[in-house]
Amino acid sequence: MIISAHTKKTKRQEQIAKGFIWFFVIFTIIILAWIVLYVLFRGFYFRNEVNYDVNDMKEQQIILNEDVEPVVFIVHPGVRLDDLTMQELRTIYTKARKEKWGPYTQQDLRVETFVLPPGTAFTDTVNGFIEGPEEINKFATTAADPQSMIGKVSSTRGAIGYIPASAAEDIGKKVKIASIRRISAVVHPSVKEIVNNVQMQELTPEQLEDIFRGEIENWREVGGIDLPVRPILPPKSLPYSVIHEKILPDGFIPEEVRQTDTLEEFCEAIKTTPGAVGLCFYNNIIETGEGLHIEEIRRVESGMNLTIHYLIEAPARSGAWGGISTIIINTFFLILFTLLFSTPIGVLGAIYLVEYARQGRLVKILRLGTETLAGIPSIVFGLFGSIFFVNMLGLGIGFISATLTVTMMILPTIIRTTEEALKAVPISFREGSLALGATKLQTIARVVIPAASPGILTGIILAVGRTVGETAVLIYTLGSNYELVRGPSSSARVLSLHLYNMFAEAISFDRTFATGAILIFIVLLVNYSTTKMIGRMNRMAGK
Amino acid sequence: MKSKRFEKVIESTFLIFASVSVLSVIFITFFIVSEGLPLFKYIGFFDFLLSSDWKPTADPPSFGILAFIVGSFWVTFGALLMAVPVGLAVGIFMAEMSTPKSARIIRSGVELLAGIPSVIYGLFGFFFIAPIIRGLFGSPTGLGILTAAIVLAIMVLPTIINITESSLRAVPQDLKEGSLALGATHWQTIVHTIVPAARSGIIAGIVLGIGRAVGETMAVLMVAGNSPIMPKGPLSHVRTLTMNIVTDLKYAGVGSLHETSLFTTGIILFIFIMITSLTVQVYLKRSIEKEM
Repeated sequence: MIISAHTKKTKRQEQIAKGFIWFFVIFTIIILAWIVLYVLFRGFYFRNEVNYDVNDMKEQQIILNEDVEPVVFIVHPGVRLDDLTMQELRTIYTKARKEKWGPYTQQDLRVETFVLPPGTAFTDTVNGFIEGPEEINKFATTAADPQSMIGKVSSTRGAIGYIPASAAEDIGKKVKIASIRRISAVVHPSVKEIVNNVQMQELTPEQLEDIFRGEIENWREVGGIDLPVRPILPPKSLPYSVIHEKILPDGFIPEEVRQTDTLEEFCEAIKTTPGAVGLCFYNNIIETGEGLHIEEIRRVESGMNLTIHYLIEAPARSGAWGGISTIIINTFFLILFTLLFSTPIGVLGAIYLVEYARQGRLVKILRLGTETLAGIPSIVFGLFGSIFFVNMLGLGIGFISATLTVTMMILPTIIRTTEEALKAVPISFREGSLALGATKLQTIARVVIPAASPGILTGIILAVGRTVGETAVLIYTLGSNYELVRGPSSSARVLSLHLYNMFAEAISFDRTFATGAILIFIVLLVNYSTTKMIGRMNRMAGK
Repeated sequence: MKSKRFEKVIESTFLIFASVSVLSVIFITFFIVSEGLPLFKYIGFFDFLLSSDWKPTADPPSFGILAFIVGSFWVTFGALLMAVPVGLAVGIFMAEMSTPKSARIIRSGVELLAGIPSVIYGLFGFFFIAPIIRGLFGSPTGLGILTAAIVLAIMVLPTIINITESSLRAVPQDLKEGSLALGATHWQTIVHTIVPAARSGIIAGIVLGIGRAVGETMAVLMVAGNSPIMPKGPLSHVRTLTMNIVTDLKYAGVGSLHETSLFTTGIILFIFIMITSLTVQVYLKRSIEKEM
């Protein structure tokens, strides 16, 4: 066989062209997979860098001084808390209004504070520790002794209290121990000087450790100015020994690190040594270390984003706290009522178009109407809904206005799919039924609709998918109340609206993605069931 | 006789249900137009359309939407520029080059792409595409025409793919066989016979995609930057017609001229959509007639 040069060239060009097509196909699939996986990943997993004024060293048993027992802070097991910073602990105990756990655990739960009766050395020391410069607030309940403290904390939702370490040995799972973080880093102002528009960023706990192990010798190494690092440790006496144990576990202090003998000497050394950095307890710095600059420490926080709690708790503070349970229920109600209106209209309308109408001008106009309705953007539906249902009919921004507007919007989806399904039913079915003496209506109800039901169901599922995804139409018809919908004129929020509102108000991007992941799940479910339905339909048609 | 009357009643009931969508279109058109038209009592038609000065709350207010029309145009144009080649390629692949099984897999993927809510696309654009644009071109936020066009391109892809595929499949088999019998290769048949035969359908798909892109609100709202100024380049922040409605309706006083002007913006949007919608009807009809 002779292959001319020309054919060869054509062949190569064809291969290149087909290669491009393959490339675009793979490209499309990758984009799709990437969008889905990206939203799901960020919905499930969060990772943030948060700055604190304390290090991430956690203490369960907190040694306050040589004379009293260490103290343990306990919380009700329902409080999803790992650790509190010293400052947070103080805020909780001293704030004039009752705090909520929201800022620390995203729970919409009141903080119930408990204290032990004053008068003993232990209680007075601990109270002094948690009061700081302020007073313990008037809401704190006094428990008679450590045992009753455990009892009360375990039986009061949102409770926090404290007990001596000896009483904490047999608490079991009745209460949870809250670790406290109280070790702050202080630096000489020279360290934070701005040179050439660059200022040192917050340190990480690892960098801080390296500094005290003598591994970082110049501030340049951590993004600061060219200045030798001068690490200074607080006295080695009992409470401070925690710092030594945690930062230098083998007990060896490198020679670059200066060991001070009293707290006063420590503070003085930090203030007078350029490039100095020291570790000390937050409360000591606040109380005795006047003029010291606390250097913020950056902690990486990561974990599960979309938890079961997020699904079952009611939202609070515009979605910043709590979960999305009411929003899921609202979404469900919107779907239900929209289908209640749109399914009969759509299905019966399609039956008219396929079974009754003579193909002529009327049907053409009706079809054109459906096609045009399908093309109208959702914001135009929103405009119409807000002027017609909300204002003119006086239904107000709320559930019923939204339901009616969305009904209009998803009608074409249902009509089109039902039409296709009805057309796919073989004419012989109808003829058989009519020949047996059934009326037209009986034929439709008993023969045609059952045969077309998978197709009709597909249309309904597609309509559900559209309802779940719509946002623009709902902004001015459904409003933004995130509580449970109470009646036809109650404003509400559905998942997509909640996602948009949290995004626009910059409430929490992690929570925005968690809501997005749920939306993706619903879309996947819709897609899966329509594929199954169409498969079943094809099998039926094949038989 | 009684049952005959009953059937007649049923038929007319069904007819009422069937006309709901036409009535909806008429209602929507009527209300948007009657709410929006009164603006022209105060402002000239061309002042509204050809000025880019949008200061609805200033004294005296000015309502010029040229910047938004231009914004909608650039965003849509950019999206189509990216989506059409990809969409055509995937459509051709599904109709002509793939096995039925892989076509089925791609089809359910495309359906998934079509089913993803627009707020998710917006989220993806804001957190994934915008940082890339920011890194590549050094624009301060990464939001703007280019980002919005990329997001929209992904969103209109399913529309273009679906209609391209179905119109390619609708091309009669004998045309294809004729071309192959004349010695044309498979590729030559696709390029010179099948695609030209399916041209009307493909154009309908592209026009439908334009309609989708012009009408899209939430995704562009999240990624386009939303400044009511004339866009200066592909990285410039932009506001489209839909964004203007959804942004300003939040604070426009009820019954104010500002609110009216948003309905007038709605009329312009509506006219765009009607034109695309009717074009699609015409082209689809043409492609069906060709089949006959």
